[in-house]
Amino acid sequence: MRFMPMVCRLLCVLLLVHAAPAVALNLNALRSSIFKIQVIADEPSLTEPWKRLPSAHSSGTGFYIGEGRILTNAHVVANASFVTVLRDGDAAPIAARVRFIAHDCDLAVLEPVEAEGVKAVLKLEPMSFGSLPKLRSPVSTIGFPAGGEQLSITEGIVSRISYHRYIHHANARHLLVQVDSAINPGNSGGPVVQGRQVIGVAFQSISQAQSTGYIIPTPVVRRFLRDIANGRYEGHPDDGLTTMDGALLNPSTAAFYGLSPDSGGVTVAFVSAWAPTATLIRPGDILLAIDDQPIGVDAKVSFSGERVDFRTIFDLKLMGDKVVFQVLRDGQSLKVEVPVKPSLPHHATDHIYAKHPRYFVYAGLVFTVLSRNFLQTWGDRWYRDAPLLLRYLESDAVYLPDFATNRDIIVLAKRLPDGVNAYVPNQLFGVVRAVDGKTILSMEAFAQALSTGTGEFATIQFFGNQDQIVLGRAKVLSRNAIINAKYGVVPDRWLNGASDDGALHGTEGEGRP
Amino acid sequence: MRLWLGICLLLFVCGESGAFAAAPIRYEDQVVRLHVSKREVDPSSPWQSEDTVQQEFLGVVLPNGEILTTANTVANAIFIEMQRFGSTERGEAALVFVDYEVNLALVKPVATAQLLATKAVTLGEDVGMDESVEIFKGRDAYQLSRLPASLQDVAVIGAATSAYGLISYALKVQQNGLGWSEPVFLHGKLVGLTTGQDQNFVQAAPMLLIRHFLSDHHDQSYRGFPAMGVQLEPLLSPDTRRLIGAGSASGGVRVAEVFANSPFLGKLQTNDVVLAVDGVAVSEQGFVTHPTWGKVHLKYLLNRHFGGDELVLKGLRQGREFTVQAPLQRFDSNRAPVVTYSYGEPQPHLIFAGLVFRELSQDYLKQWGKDWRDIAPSDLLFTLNFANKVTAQANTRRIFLVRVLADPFNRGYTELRHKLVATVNGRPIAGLSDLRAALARPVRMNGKDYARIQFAPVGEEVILGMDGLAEAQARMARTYEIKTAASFYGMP
Repeated sequence: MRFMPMVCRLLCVLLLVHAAPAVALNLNALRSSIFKIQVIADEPSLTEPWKRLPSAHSSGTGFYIGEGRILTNAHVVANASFVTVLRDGDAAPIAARVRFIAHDCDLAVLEPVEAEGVKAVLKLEPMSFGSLPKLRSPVSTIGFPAGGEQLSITEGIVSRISYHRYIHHANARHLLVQVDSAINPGNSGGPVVQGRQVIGVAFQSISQAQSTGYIIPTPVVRRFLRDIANGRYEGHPDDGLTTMDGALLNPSTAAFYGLSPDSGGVTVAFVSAWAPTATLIRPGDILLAIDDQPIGVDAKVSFSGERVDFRTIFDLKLMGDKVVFQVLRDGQSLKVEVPVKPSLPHHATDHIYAKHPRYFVYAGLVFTVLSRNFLQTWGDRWYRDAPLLLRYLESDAVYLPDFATNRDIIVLAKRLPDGVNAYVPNQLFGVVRAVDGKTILSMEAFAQALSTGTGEFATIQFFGNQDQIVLGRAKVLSRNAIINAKYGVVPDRWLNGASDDGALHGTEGEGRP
Repeated sequence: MRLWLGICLLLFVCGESGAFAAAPIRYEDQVVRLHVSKREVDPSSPWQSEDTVQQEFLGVVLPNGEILTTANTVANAIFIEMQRFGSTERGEAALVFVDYEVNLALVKPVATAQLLATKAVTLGEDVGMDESVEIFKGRDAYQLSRLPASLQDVAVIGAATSAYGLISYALKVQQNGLGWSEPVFLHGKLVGLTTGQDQNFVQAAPMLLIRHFLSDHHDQSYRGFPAMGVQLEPLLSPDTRRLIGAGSASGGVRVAEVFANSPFLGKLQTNDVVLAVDGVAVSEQGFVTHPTWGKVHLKYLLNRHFGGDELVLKGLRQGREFTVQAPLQRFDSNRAPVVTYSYGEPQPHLIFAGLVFRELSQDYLKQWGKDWRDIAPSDLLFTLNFANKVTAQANTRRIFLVRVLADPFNRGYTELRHKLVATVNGRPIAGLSDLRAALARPVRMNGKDYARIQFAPVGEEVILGMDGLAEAQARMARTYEIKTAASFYGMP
């Protein structure tokens, strides 16, 4: 028992640190601009992609940013079919629609649907944005955690500023801020403030760490708002670069390139063929600076007083901007100007938030595209329980020559049993490579090859497997309609592209991701 | 007929009771315990071994005094002791012969005195379906105990110690902890050796394999168990049958691929149909009919052959029948680029500037435990599953970077691990000898020599100067207590 007083003293100190924010927050001044967002969402089925899963109810937080718009997270309203917003203290919720949604940076803009709602919202005072917070500065997260009816404030400290993964998208990385306060379900989309200024939007947390939350900082939010200014969301650019960070820390490696150990820079290992950097940046190049900011051997640059990944600078550009790299190539230092533009169409194994995943049903065989959602049908441990080929392609297909030019990675997701497919080899979860021996790069080409082929047999070849599917075309033609009617497959294909967003369909929005 | 039934009944009764009135069988004299000290190579530090472990197995005494057991018993063994049941004495035994492909081995007591009180088993015949047998358990006890079992299935499965397909019994038994080379007896005769257990089913090697192994070994020139080197797929789909011209034929399996080392290369081609093997008709699913066991996969027919035997196939190519014949080759699990096993053998590796390279092997991947096929690094698993085809060139290996022994010499690269080597100094790498040869031809840049090591599939590169390499490696040898200088590149 002798140690108890010491423990109590230590606990009190910790509590005092947390309970004493440097800036007192006047909640009354902010509460009128903050909304609880309630959503009914209908996600598509991944294994029978013509269907919708049962509706799910959820809630989040949003805040008024002016011009009748409410800012929240994309994941709060993803696949939304019905959205309402409700201010703390109000009795009646206002029907809203998703006007813009950006899944890559997990932000969305909502607007009231009806004139009354618009009028009510326009009377509010918009919240204003601040700058990137300083490390170890106090912040307050405001929202409706756990679906509560009253606004809640959680105090915390900025503990890290980094360039990291946004889990809503699966693979996108952007600037984010880590705070040492809990961000709970329902907090999502809520403002994180210092004084009266918004310095970020609460959006994700670590399930294993109880008091670690992440916020989308204002450089990313401001970029999103600039992006949608012309009425269309074009998205963050993808540099398509895989670099070998830290290699030039080695003196002999630096000497190989004629650099001194303090020259900085990172070596380029791979450049994606679909990226705006393709052909301009080459494997083996040394990136020494980006927009005149020296890149360290740790691949970081100075940004608002902190050191962050150099990709942050590229990532925050808008389409039509330019990025200038200082490059060392074959011993020569040169400036390479990269026009920032959308990537060429290519396979992306991110989360899909379309009305339906791209799919095609032929002879009762359901083919769909590989995505993170599809992998997650194997559960929380999909990264070990999903078939090896699928999880490997999810992360590495971009590097494999066999898949470098694929628009889609097409997977046989299901067999709808029928006599016509009774004897096809067990290729469930196999990855399509060719039809009738011709390489297939997209779902459109796949559907086209099977629908319009003229040979007596349609043959489907799979990656890494010599056992092909052979189907008599005449028999398939006579059974397709019957199978689709029996299993309710309507339509038999969905080939829409990225503009096919589930939330924009559901709530009549206009922005395009 | 009546006389024959009477003899059978007498054998059955005697077998059940375990004792003839005139000459009772003392199984304790025929079965011995084998205490095996095993030591595996540390997969991540292949210059050293993991801790020694002791395991117990069983074996049976053969007429020539040798002890028959499974290859699993002797895998990674550094010391074997034999002990008779009823005796507390242990005597050293030595390995006589092992074939990991068929999972069988022979050991022999070093001192013949150990055999004085033993008696040889009588070899029996293959067991019929549903026939009752006895499994003798006792590897962890001083007494043998009998467990009743019955033959429920006979199937071709992957050997526990190799990638070879073996005919195997599935014996139903109400007991756990089996599969450690326990002998299986029927009517006092040996009819199998257990090789593993899956819940209530114990796998056992049938006499077909045991007799093949013993006769082959005693012929002095071991020829081993062969394979066709051909991937065959079921041919159930009527559409596929019509496409490849097999619509009117009955049975047969499709040739999906002929491997680069197959004796049938150039004789069979993709989409040929194999209708019969050794004159035995093959079903659409790849089964043949065995007189006792019924439906068995055609691979079982290969278990009957020896390396070098001629195999005759009846085939169909676009509707026309043909016969083809080729000499079979002894199966070698390690012929594929990813090594299947290397029991007791040194793990080939090379340390260059602290970068530890070795051949990719299933032994390495198995360090991730029983679920290694799911949780080992996906790059390495992908290589095993999708980039592991046998090539025309023997000894092709996949070389990968295991890890980096951190040192000032290799700073900047210390976090690298599990990277497959594509090229070194511009030369493709398909083995450790390629790696050594390529490192010996450094790249010249700015008046100095460098090694450029590029990894697949991303293309990351390690570039390290050759100056000061010997000194740095000597330092690493001291720091990491690596006593085998030959592990390092360029060290004697």
